[in-house]
Amino acid sequence: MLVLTRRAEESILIGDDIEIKVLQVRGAGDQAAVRIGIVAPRSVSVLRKEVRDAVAAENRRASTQSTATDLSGLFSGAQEAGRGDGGFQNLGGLRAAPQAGEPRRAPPPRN
Amino acid sequence: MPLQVQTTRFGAIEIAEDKIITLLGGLCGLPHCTRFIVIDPPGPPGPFRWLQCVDDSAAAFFLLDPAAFWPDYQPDIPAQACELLGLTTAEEAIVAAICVVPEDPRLMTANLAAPLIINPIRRTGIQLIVAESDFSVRQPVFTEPEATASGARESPTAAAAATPKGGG
Repeated sequence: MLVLTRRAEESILIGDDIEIKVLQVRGAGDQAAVRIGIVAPRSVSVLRKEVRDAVAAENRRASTQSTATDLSGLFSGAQEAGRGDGGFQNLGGLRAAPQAGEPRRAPPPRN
Repeated sequence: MPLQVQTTRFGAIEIAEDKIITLLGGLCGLPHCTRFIVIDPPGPPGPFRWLQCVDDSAAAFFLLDPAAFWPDYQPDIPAQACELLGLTTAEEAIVAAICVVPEDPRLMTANLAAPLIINPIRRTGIQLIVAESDFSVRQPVFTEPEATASGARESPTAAAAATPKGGG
């Protein structure tokens, strides 16, 4: 990791079009905080790292949690839960296979 | 040429390769998950889908149509993302939220901070982290703990009011 010391109003350039500027340094000890300004093209994603970490953790949770859960109750109410007017209905898929609780097996051949 | 996909939840599935949806860059935190198939849950068409990963037989994601629960939810899709997905306008995109469904499905939450943005024509998508927004990664889907799925209709209000992240 490259380590640099910067004071307020001083900047770091990354490549030709990204500037990271220290705007303000305040507090001390545990309360110390740095206010940073970022100039970058719109194509560059700028995120607080903890946001990305939270999304990653949520994805991992989502990928595993549902396996054992019986969701049939949700589906019986799904019709009344309403439909969006967006394009979601176009996200057509295969017909569902067995739900949790039923034996897991390949769908029976048609007809 | 149909592709045979092994899945933990749905067993073996045969699917035409042109039905596969590719998430560019994979899912955040699960970069190996890039190819998916959509599976309809039982019953009439509703606001839910399964998104089964082709690259990981155990990874199945429960998707929800955010518009069905939070009519005001409109994540800002940057022009860059539209370009990447080959969308002329953001309105052409399918927006879907990934849910976490705990043992008690009434406590289900949806990740509104990082929706999937999909071009249904090209069947490509991305997971868009909506930068600096107040959308929560764990937005409760049913506001009343005792609400059932059918009770959700009354409660889709505070969509955008998802938990604020605090300070900035």
